[in-house]
Amino acid sequence: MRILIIEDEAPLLEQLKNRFNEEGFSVDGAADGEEGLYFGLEYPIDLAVVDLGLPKKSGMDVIRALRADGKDFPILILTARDRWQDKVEGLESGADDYLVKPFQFEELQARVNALLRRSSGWSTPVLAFGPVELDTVGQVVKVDGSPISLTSYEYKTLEYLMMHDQKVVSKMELTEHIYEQDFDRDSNVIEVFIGRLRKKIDPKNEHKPIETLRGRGYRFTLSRST
Amino acid sequence: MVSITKRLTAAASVVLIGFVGFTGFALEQSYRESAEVALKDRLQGFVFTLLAASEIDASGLTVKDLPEARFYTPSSGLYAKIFSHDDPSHWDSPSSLGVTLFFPDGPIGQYIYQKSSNTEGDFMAISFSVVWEVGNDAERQYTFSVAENLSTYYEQVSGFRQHLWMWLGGLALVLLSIQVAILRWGLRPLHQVADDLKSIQMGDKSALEGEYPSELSELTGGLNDLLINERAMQTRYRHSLGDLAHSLKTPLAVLQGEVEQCKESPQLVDALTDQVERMNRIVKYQLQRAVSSSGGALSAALPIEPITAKIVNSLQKVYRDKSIEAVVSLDETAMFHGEEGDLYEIVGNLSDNAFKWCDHKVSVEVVRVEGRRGRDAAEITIEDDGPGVPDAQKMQILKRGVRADEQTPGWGIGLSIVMEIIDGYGGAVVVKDSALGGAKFEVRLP
Repeated sequence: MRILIIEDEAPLLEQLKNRFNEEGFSVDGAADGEEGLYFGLEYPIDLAVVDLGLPKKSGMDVIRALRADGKDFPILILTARDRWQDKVEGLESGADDYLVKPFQFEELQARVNALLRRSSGWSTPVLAFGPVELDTVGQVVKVDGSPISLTSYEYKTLEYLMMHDQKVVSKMELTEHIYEQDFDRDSNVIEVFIGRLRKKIDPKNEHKPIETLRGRGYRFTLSRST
Repeated sequence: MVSITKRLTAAASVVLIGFVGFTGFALEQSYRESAEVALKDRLQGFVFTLLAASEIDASGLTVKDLPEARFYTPSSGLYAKIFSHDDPSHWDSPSSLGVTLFFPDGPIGQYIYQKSSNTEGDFMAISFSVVWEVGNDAERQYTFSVAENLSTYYEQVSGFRQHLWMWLGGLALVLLSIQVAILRWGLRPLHQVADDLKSIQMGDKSALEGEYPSELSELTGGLNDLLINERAMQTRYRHSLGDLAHSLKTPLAVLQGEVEQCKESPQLVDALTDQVERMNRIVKYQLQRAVSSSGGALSAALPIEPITAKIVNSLQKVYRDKSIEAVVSLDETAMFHGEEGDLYEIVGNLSDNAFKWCDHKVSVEVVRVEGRRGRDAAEITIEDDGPGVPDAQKMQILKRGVRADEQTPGWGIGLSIVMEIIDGYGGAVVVKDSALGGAKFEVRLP
């Protein structure tokens, strides 16, 4: 998942970038409103964390501009302004959640995960597709009830495909959403990850959860359990 | 303090009563004097009539044909007597039959007046002594006296007095009522200012906008400046306090993040996390206090409905995962007399608690109620179907003035902020058990 963090306080931005990276996110950081808006409009962002008091362009304006442009990824406001008036105004301008500084990273991470899950239509933290279950909170994948071990990139790839189930996801899209900007975008790497994933979640090759559409990309084909 | 109207009316009444009293007294006195002079003149006239009717010869003095009939009517009130030293009762008028009277004696050629009284009443007597030559070288001295009953005089004087005081009293009343009317009219601009201030308090106006007389326009201008200043100051406070909050909290956030990443000493991490949290609560609580305590007296009436609706919508968004059914009943006429931000805090914090603790049902109700002194008040009721508040904690969580970091755990700082704000406006909060099964917060805002 690729998130955008717009925060003018350099140490905090650095901290957040590191923590989210550790948690397997691909992070774009912006130090002011204009840069943030540019990233939000131009990059394939899955979620944005926006501070309100920003130089050049206020957080509220950035959110409004993103929404006006039709961007519908979840936005979380992360600010020191804790008055309800600001909260309500922020949520009304198009944000989906609000977190007040100082905060615990676990709290922020939980909310980010919840927003991402919600934006793909899941109301519970566990994405369940028949035998395959992915717990977004614990970052655990279970097949037929027993956990399997995945690398961070494998997990991210699977999570992305599951959150975009029944849709064709191109290799380009996968690289953009999962890997850092400067990652070597050799399409073979994706093919390797997909191959390993298939072996791990469908060792007997009976469910065929990930379909390959030649020249177009991949599709997660299992149906959601309700 | 005695009102200006009362002061002026009292002063004017005292002056008026003094003036009328003195005038009446002087008029009465001079009337009495002139009536007495008239009486004396009349008595003198009677003496002359008596003299004219008297004839003297060698045998003595005789009185014939007095032109005044009252001298001949008994007990008529008008009596005459002529006497001399050797003849103390030379002649008595027929009217004085059976009447005892004192007639003064005096030197020759002078009028002597004497007041006296008998069973019939008060009398004024006049005596005039003359010496007459009788025949050759013989002289006789006679004293001519006339006395008149004073009842007529008294009647005259008291009649005049009655009229006088009646008129003066009437005049005083008329003058007083004119005075009061003038005062009312003259002080009306002051009442106008008071009324206008009241409507500013009620929030119907934002400044003293009417036309005021030049004496007051400086005052009202000053008041308007004060109002504008106060509002500007509030805004400035809020902004600078907000800036302060922002600049304090961001370093706190950085600190918190650094602490969380420090893996070496879990004890240190816990202690630092606690302290960061505590600092944050203190900053938040004290800032809120500083901002909200200045609001209140002179702010406009704010409809509660739109803000509450916005808050509920926002919370629905935040708690979308819980798929909460929010029953909202908002009276559009309910007003809040205070700062917009404070209303946001009250409704926001209480609703947030309800959304946080509820199972899947929340109810928010706002109604207009009759408040003190006929002013509108509002009642906000927020309920949920969550676990509710244990009886033992119901009082505890609403305690005000408890330091932010000592508040009951689990309820967060929001509730103490709400208490602080509501208290500042003279409102009240109670916690009850909701029919939905959870907690029910009833807030009354004046």
